[in-house]
Amino acid sequence: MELDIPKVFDYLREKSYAEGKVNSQSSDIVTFHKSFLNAVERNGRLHEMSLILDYKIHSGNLFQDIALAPEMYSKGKLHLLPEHIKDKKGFARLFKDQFKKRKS
Amino acid sequence: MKIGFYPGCSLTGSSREYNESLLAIAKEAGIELVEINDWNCCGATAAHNLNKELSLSLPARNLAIAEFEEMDELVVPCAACFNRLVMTQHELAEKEELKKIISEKLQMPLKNEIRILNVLQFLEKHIVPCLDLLVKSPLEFDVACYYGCLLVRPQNVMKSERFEDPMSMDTIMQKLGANPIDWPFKTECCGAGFSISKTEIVGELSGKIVRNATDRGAKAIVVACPMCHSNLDMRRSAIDNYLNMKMDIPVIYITQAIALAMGLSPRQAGIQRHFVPVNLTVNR
Repeated sequence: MELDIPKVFDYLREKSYAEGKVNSQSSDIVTFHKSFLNAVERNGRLHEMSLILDYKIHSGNLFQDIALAPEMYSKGKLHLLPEHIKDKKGFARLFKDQFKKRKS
Repeated sequence: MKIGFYPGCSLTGSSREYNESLLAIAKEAGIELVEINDWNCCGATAAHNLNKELSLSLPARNLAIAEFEEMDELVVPCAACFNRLVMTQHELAEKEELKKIISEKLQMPLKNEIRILNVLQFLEKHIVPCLDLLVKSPLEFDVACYYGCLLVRPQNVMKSERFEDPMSMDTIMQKLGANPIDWPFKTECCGAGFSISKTEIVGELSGKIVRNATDRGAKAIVVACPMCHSNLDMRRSAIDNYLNMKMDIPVIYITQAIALAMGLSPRQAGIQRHFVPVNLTVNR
């Protein structure tokens, strides 16, 4: 029998997040992933500016990469406004109840 | 043949030069890439780390749309998106019941049969046959071809023949006139999605890649993944901090290398968007 180790990792990550048992050393990683999904849920596509702002608020790392964003913007790599998908209702169905049972 | 195109979120934002250069070389080769209608984010690492169902339903929605639009192939230039779409297709092919559940959730039929191509597979099939005619400015310098993790792993799903020492990018770069170096970091991890949450890990992992490429004489690192590019290019200050020295080697997308070799201007290839200056001598 072959053990699919990455799948085991994913299962344990999902379970630990759902049960609110996140290792404190990994809290920034988990916060980033949740901020990512928050941004995707809002627009259907990732808006990198929204992701960064959501992550800063929830992680408390307010001054991280403070110099990077203006340079990204000047190089055309950051958009101020998000792109939205058209089928918002159908897309919202995918997220419905997915994080409802999480213990905090 | 209708060739579908799934850009993914990075190519509309932080990696837009990848998008620009890919579309520019496709145009030069006379190939039309049809963007799939109303595509959504694939969920990336965040979904498969936190929620199994989302990690399948988000990519599956894009596959279902591409099938509905009768695309014969789907080109996915972002290695992370490619990995998620292929992993979803693989898992749903193995579990018919799960495919039914996801299809019902999407309220869309899902045959799960579309052929998904990463950028190297697309280039090999559609661009390489035209290169003899289109290369006008050979790139006569040493390059380090860096594949990263997501194009070759997991090996049993990606069917990569040489998953520890892939050669497809090296072969393309040779056709452009460049000399790909032999080096041991082709498929080492750059730190991937830890760019923001654990930047110091990216500095260390990417630092080792950049130092080895430099030590072996490469004049540029060539990549095929937005995450690899942003870690090696945009995170150069974290890399320099880890190595305790300033590293100047530029990082370019394979599509930018082809655009330059085709004689397109650096601006058309999106070179001006990089953090590390790209000063490569191209024979014109």
